[in-house]
Amino acid sequence: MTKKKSLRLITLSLFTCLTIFSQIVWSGGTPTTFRVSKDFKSLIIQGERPEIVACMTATSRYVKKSLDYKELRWLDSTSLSAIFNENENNGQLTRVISLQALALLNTSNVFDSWIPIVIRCKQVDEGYPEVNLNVVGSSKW
Amino acid sequence: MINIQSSFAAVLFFSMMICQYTYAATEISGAGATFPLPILKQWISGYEENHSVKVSYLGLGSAEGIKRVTARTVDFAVTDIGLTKSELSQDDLLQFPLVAGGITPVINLPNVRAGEFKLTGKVLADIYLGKITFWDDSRIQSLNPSLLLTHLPIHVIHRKDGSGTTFTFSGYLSKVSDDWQKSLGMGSYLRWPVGEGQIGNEGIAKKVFELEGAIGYVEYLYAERFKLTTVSLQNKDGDFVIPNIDSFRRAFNQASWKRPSYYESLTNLPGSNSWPIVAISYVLIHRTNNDRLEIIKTLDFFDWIFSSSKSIDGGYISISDPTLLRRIKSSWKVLTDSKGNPVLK
Repeated sequence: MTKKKSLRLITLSLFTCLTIFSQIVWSGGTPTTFRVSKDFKSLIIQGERPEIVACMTATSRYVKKSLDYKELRWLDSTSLSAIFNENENNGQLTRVISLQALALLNTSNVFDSWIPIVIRCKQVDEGYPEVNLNVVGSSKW
Repeated sequence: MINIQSSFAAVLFFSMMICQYTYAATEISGAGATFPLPILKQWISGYEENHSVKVSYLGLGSAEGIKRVTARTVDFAVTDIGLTKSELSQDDLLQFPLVAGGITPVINLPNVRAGEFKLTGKVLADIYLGKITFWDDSRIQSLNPSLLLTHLPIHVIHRKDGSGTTFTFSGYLSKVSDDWQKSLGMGSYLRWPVGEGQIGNEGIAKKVFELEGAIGYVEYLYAERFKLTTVSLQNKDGDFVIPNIDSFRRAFNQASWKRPSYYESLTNLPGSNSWPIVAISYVLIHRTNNDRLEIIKTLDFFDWIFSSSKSIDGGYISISDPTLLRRIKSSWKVLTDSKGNPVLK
């Protein structure tokens, strides 16, 4: 390997390290959770509130298919801050669940930033939840 | 020498196999709600007297029960947090109702007897929201003009474990208080604005018993066992209702059982003398099971409960409607072993 090639390799490695480091610093302080489970069983086993897990699972699936969002992260406070309500009218049971999370928008920016979102799931009777996502505000970064 | 060793090893191996088989056939385990724990203990003891099967049940709260049955560390769970069909299908679970009962607010106030203290749902919600902090608050006093209430602080007691009793209790508060609905909603765990957390129905009952000025919520039998003061609670029709088996039954009888999951919400229902906070305990079992014998024993236990619990004490309501029981038992036919063969022929 020539000296020139080695130098180029070192420069490239340094640049990669710097990029990874900046990504870590970028996300520093964001109150995200290391709980990354996405399916119903795993979320139940990791101790999420059973009544909100269907909404969490449906949201993960929604984000996976969405063109607007790249990724979703639950917060440590997602479970406790969730608001779940149910009502029965003329024999039809409707559950509405609100959750807070962070999402990466599907943009072409070099540095992605996590933005807070509010998820609203509506579950009618025995059906699967319908998911609606709304961006709360722009990222603080 | 080698032959003796080989024979000993073979004997030991077969003994272990037999022990394992016997253990599997004679012990079933469950976990979950503390709400039906007193009646489950009675049922377990009655069943074990007549069968050579040991049934163990840990009252760890409904959320923990769901967690354990999902992780397949128990044969069944009992939960007051009913799951819907779409939730059950994601976890390969079958759900059916086991028993119902009333949840009652309990208080520790000097010189107040059971049933004579009146509360509305909205006032109860405001106490749990921390908006009413003393027992002689004008809103409480106006509901109880004949009682001389002292300036005693209210000690709010709630559950700190994932609880189906909390799920039903908060579901009721959500229906009667807009503030509660917007800020906390219904849940097995909540971000309680005030109060002290206790584990299980028994934890709440003990704390309310010990602490003057305390208020909590428990399944009715816990209130009776700890001789706690129950309240007269206003229902949807405006009646002040005393908690007892008759008022629980008036709400329970409104269940339609039309959903495949059997999920029913029995809070804030209309009807004269209908108790506004009634919960159902459901059984959860896996639809596919590795151990055929164990699931047969589990079903036999619940079959025995359904056939022997037409009249049960303690304010619990048994599932005794023949049509409903036929539906429940018929639903057991979907259970299969790991090869896909039906467990029940």
